[in-house]
Amino acid sequence: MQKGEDIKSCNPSDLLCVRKLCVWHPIRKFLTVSGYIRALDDVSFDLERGRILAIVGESGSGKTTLGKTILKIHQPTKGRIIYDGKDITFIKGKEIKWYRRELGYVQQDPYGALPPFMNIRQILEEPLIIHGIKKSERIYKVREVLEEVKLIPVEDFINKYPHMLSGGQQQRVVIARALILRPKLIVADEPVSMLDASVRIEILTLFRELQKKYNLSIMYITHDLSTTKYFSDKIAVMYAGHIVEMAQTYKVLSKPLHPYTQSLIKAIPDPDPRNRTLFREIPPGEPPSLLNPPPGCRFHPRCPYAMDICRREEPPVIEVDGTHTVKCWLYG
Amino acid sequence: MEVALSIKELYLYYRVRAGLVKAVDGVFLDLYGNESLSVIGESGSGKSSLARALLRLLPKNVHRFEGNIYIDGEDVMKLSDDEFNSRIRWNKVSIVPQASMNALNPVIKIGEQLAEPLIIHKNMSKNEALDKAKEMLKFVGISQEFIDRYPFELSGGMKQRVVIAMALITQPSIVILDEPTSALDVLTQANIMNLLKKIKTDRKISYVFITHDIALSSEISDKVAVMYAGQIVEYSYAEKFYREPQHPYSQLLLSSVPTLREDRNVRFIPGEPPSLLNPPPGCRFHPRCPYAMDICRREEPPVTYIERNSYVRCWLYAKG
Repeated sequence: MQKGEDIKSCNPSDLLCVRKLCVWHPIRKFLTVSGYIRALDDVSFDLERGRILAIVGESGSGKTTLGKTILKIHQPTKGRIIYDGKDITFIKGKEIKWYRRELGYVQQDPYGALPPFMNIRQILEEPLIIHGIKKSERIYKVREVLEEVKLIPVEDFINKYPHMLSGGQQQRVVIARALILRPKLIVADEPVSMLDASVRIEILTLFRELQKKYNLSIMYITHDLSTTKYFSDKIAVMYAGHIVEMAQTYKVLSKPLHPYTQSLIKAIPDPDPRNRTLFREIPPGEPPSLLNPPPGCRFHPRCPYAMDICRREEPPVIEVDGTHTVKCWLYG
Repeated sequence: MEVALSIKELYLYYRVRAGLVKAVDGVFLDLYGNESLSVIGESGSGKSSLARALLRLLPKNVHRFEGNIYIDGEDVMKLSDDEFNSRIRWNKVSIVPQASMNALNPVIKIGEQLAEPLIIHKNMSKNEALDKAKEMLKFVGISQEFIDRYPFELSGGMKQRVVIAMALITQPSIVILDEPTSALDVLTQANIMNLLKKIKTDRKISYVFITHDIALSSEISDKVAVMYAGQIVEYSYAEKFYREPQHPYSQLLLSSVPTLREDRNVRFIPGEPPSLLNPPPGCRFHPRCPYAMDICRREEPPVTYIERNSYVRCWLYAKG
């Protein structure tokens, strides 16, 4: 009964629909389970075709777990993941292979993501071999994708090894590998955070071009709110395993509702010489342990507006002005 | 105000199998007391090498290390390694290293690690030093009971505070911050920045802040030095730099910064930074420069002063 209701709220034209997703990692002590790390708790969102959803949060907020669960690297404990109209929450075996072909993954650390003993051609051919593409087609596809990520002339790069490339070029190879099977959805986990500030925009611009060309949907996982303004359509803010706020990018950035989002925005400097005389009002403390999250709202120990109810009851997801949702008692 | 740090024609080359890496190639600057300088540049521009040269923490393959570094008026390049260690390192200059979360020894208690610089560089007794360590912990906002804890019991932000306390405990006049918040979360980073600003006002010290994050650099800079391929290409006051950068590279760097509050287009700098083994002839930035002229390809640009204590290395501004 419950399951049916969850799925009903999905829009069939959306590429990805996630409902009440939970990922709890059991902590085993000898033969018994002594507790759970609630890495993801009750996460719901939709991703439309050809859109970029930014998942923003600090380390330990569950944003990487969310990405890896969508990629079927982590197993969901509860909830539903509907991809292109099909329920893929608990698929196995051959179905996973089909599903993974539809997805691309761009990792955070490009050097760690590329095997050092393979050259660029071998790295890019690997997914083609796994998915049974004929040899004669492979080299053509490798060249095509290298041109798309602007590693040109292709001859200069195709036989190189990852260590011979700069960080930005390595990340282009990672993007090429994610794109080579022509996926519909890309999970990009901090794709530019290891790169120099000046290269970040270059990679994101390229990414955006390719996204438009192929009408890709992207889950852009990041801790850096300032790039989301240029590289996302919608933002979901995560804190301690929950999505605490979600809306179109411009709404979140110009009118953040959740106190956590507000302090995130306050914490980010723009280059301005006046900053040096400014003290930022930032909540003290650290994100809570996911083993024993605080009762009620998980942000209440750090929240400047914490009320009595915040300490007792978990806030519901509240819809404010149409598509802007926030999980906070202030709006209840 | 007095000059706290003055660097004149500093060179630091490393020898590697492929040739010479010119990491610091003729750097000069002046920094006054209680002023902070941000050294910004892409990776491989030589900014960390500059920091290491100031503390004389050098690897074995140094080929050339010359020039003058005046700290509080004294040329420390003339000192022997022993003298440098006993009088300058940590007494006058200290560092908050990159990835400082891993800078703490995991098997030694926080208090003992914090007291160590006092015992080594100030010849204090252990008890005295531990008392000071307690005070210092409180100053950086950590409760004193943590003195008997081990690093793994602390969060990332707290470890960072401990490392900052360690750099301050001997009361040096200059603290080098080498990407001090690069591994931290946004809110923790903002809290650490608040702490660094408070320390600067309370203790009247100077910072040399090494970073590639231009927006973050504006949080504590009075002056800015932009490094490119081992050289400072622009040296300027913060007020001027963030509003009207002069060097084409600085202009591109600033326009590549995404801003939350202001609405503007971000652009990126085409091309890759040059190799420090074989920097391009003439101006090192000319292959990526939108204004490159003929002379830029042939001759190295002279240093042109825009005003007192502020210069640019570019043919566009060369006089006469």
